[in-house]
Amino acid sequence: MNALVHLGAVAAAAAVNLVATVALCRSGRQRMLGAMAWGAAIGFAALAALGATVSLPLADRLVDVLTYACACYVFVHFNNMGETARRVRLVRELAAAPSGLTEPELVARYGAREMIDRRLERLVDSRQIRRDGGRLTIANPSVLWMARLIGLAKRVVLGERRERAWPRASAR
Amino acid sequence: MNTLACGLGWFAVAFVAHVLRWRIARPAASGQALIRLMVATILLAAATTWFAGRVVPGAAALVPANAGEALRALVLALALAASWVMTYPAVEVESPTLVMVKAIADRGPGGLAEAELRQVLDEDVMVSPRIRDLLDERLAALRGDRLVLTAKGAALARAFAGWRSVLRLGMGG
Repeated sequence: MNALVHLGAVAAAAAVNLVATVALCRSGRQRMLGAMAWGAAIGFAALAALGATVSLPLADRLVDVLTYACACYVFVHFNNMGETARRVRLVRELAAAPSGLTEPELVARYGAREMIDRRLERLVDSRQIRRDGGRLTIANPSVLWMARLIGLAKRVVLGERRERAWPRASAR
Repeated sequence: MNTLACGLGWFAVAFVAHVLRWRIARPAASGQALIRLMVATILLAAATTWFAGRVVPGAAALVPANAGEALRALVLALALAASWVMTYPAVEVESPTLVMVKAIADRGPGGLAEAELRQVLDEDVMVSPRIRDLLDERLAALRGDRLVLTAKGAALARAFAGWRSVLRLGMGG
């Protein structure tokens, strides 16, 4: 199988993923996360169908699968930035005010209270945490494991020896 | 096999270069610096491999078989780098969701009072550092005491607004 055909198959699978995610999201039948999961699965099925027509060594298939998985991961993160990133939301608030905003005005439009409300709501809805009588407890440890993995990456890349319980106000 | 090994190897070289550079001194506009470093290191590693395959005896057996396979390896290495670039902000900046989950877990079975969470995660922690980021990354600028978007910030806002309207989604945040 020609190298360009391999790359074309991965690009086609990524395009199928994109179209499926947009269609599912626009239909309102799936929430963002569900639409992305279905889109990735449909794209992977397209890649498998394209690869099934030829006999290939495992390593050759792995290159395509890994490249496609990376494309899915980048797509998920891009969507997640639009959904959850504070910076993106702040930029959009500023875009809606052509003469600019002071910091208190910006905080009034998108402040810590709304940031925490939205995140708690998402964590409760996805059953990651439980909210009971004003107390919060862990219901499912998957996001906690993600937090630990990020903590490990922080130690490797930034050389931070131990994690702080709470972020500093000056933290970048 | 060489295609897979080269793709993974070139990304690994770029990742090690990233860790070493960041341990020496973290750049100010770190997101853009990371993209430049990753792309440059991967291209350099690919060029070095290509050169070694031609001048070092026996090395030809370890490099991709032809230009097309080298391109596949390059795309794989760049795709892995793009994945890391997208993950990196969560490593550098404290993600409020992950901070909240860790703080709740640290309190054990009794959990954490929501009031305490709100007391600690105030505007100084949640908003001010992100506003400083907007200024550092030149997405916004100060005009007197007012924050205004730069052309780069306006382009970012348009890109996300456009994409989310395609998905029929609201403001996010």
